[in-house]
Amino acid sequence: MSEDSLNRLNEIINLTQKHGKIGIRLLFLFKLLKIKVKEKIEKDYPTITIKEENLNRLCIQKAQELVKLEKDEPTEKDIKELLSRLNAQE
Amino acid sequence: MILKMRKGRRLKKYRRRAIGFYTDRQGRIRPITSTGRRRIWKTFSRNIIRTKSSITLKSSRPTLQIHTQVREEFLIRTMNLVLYQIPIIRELQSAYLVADAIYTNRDLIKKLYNNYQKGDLTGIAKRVENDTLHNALSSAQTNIVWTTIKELIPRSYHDSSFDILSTIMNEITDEEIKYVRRFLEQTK
Repeated sequence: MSEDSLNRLNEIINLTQKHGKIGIRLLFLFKLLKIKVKEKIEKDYPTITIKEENLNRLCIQKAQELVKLEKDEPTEKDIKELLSRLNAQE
Repeated sequence: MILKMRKGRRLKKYRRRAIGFYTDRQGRIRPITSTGRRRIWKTFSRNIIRTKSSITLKSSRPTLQIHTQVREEFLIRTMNLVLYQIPIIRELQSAYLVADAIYTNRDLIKKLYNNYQKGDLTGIAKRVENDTLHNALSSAQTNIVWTTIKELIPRSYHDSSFDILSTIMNEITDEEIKYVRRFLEQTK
């Protein structure tokens, strides 16, 4: 195991201890959305370069909206409802 | 030099539409046809700004690589496509489950991490050895976390949750963790 990855794990745990459940949820949702959007763009438009800053801003905003789901073990139905609510607001 | 088409001149058929005429160095009258750029670009979205790379001095021709910059609306639309058209619900649900389980077992993960730093790997080895398949597929940091949280995740979500955890743990960067931390501190 590299020193870097262990430090990263330490950073994640520190963030969790400082910002609680919201913090770790935000981090995971942010990263998941970022991976998915990047994958989609790379697949559909391979010549495009994305500005990291713009992508980060968009993903953190969306992740923040998704974090608002306060249920402890959200079901697929809960997530669908939240997404349709967010979709209606846009 | 661009010349206007003379009256009564016989129209010649060209492969592409002629938008004017000019005389070349040999004095021949040549057509100015519309550029082929439209043909290349028409497959792209209108929200993408396209700029050709700088002209090289040697050939004085634009290089083939086209740099494109993405507008924010394009990113938003892609995000919506990802969220509403691709079946991402289960992945989102797994992300919630994993994040919540890490939150619940944060102290245990921290303890295992400290043991690793001290060189006491017995606790980690005992927990990790039962899951050989997952061991082969992912890094050790993912295993440390997974072995502490898997009991908190419903069995039917094990595969998808492990995939999410593994992908995120392997791809997340220090800058991204700092970015999220800064965001949380600013929005407090």
